[in-house]
Amino acid sequence: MSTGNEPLLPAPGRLLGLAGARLAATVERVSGIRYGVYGLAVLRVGYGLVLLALLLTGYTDRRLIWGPESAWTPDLFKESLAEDGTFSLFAISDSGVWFEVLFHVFLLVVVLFILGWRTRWITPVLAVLVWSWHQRQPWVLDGGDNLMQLVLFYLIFADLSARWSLDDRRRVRRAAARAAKASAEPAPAKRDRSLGEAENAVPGVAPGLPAFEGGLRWRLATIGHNAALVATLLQVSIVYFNAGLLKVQGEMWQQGTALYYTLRTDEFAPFPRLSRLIWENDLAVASGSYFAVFIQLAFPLLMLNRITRRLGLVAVTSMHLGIGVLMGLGSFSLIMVFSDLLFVRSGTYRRVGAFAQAVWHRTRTRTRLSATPSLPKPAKHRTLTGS
Amino acid sequence: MNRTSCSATGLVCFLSDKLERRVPGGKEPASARGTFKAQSEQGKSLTGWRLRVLALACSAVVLALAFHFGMTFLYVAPWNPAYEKSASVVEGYMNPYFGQNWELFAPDPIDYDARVLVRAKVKDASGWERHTGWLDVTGPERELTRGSLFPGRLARVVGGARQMVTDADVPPSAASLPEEEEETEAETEEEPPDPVFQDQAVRHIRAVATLAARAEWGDGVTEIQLRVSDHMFPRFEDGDRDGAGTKTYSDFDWWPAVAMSADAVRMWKESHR
Repeated sequence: MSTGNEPLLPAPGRLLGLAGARLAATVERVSGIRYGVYGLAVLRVGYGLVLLALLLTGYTDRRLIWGPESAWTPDLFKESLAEDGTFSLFAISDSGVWFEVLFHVFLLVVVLFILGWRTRWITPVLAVLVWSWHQRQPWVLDGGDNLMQLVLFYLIFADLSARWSLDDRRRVRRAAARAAKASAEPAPAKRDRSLGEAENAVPGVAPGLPAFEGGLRWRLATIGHNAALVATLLQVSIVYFNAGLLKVQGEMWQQGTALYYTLRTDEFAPFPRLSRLIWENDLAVASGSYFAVFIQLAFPLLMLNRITRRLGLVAVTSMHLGIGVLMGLGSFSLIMVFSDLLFVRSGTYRRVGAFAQAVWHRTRTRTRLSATPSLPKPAKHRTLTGS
Repeated sequence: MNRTSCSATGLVCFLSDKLERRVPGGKEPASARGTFKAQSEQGKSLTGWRLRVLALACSAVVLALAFHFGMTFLYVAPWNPAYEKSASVVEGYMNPYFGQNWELFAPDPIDYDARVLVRAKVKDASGWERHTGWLDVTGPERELTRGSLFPGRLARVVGGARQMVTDADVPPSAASLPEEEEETEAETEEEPPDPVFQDQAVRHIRAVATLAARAEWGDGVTEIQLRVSDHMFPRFEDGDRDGAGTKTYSDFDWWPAVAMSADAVRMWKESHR
């Protein structure tokens, strides 16, 4: 704050003013900008897809797993709810009809969540539904489900549809329409995404912006958004750190033999022969075991620095890739990866987004050109570009 | 305060302008999408009372985060004196909604395979009762996971119920207990089993066993018996990884079959071929 031109010992009033300014700057920083909107959009879509996959892979057996025909019988289910002092929407009625209605509403809510439709309302509804669903059969869950549940509670306070969502599209269109009206110029028939964002800027004082923009309510919501983001990042860090801390206490992890036992289990072996290749290899067993412990324990520290953060994210992602493929824990791995992706900065996502957009447009243009008879292209090429 | 807030407001406008260019989110050009950043230049910037409300909200949020994650850390960390002192507060705050457990393959990974087998007493139409042989209930469930990176959760139903029996320390039937049972002295240090949890574990696995038994032997199943067989892998340090390992099993008491609907049995049969 001090610029060097100030007196060495400022008067009390000045000091107060300076403190006030610093406070104001801090408040501006946390109430004026919603951080991590791209990472949260990725997380929203990712979590949503995992939930969708879980519901669909269980769809034909839904009644047997979570319904009235479950071995975790309605009686056991309700006793356990009462013991934990909690609720589940599935406990409202034992009837098959209620179960079917709720299950399909759940499916619909998951789809709306992925699309980012009215996300402010859909997110709390989804969090309650996921909680209810987990309670219905708590003995088929894993750590991934647990983390997703916690994060969904935090993210009720976040703006998850700020990017890559129907909410965002609606906002952009409305703002453009309002701006067009205000400047009395004909509105562009369709927003051309190829132009990028700068060209869509509304000149001047952005008359298209909602009235509450930057107002107290918006700023309070922004504080909630940023707090939810920080909460999620802290939660993920705690997961890794404690998973690591608990492992270093185990003899098998200390000896570097843990991977051998893990990969020998029949329970987590979608490809037993592939697993065998690894557990028969001493080097792979030892390095894999130590790598897992190290990366989990070090995760929070690695996230603090720009370079180590990238290394750390690549490392945990490859660990989860390994877990997903070798142990068949697809949902767990994907939930962890989508949670980790929140540590990637918005700038990176914007660059990736711009790149993807450019590729998409080039493909589309080329496809359009190749579709015209004057510019014949080999058929093989056309299929390659995904027309 | 007036002077302070005036100068503060001025500074905020100035600073927020600077901030917009400096912070990660600030690189984005102001646009119709810019709804995620306050438009300070609109004159809607922070005035005295607004600033105070927001500052208060910020402090409340910081305190709440510190409290919540302090609690979370104590709750999930390995045993430590700080937890010991405040266990009831921590548990009371965290359960049930923030309940979590990160003992993912820790402190030691699973080093054995547990399989569930069931046999039954079956009455036929004439009232004749016969005893069946052992049926492997885990096998078909494992088949559901083979070659699959994203197996459905049906593949965890038997395993989950078996896990509950192990967690609850359900005692095997006296007849099946191995001879060397002189360890009771050493085991008294462990937590005493919770009879309610044990009862629920038994009802849970009985339902699973009944479904599997009825799907195999029909509606005549009157009683079922459960066997949990554990295959401990050869120890790594013993060097003989192709060895047989150690196999043990425990049989539980004969339990009456549970009333499960015909629909449930049919569904079980269809999905566990």
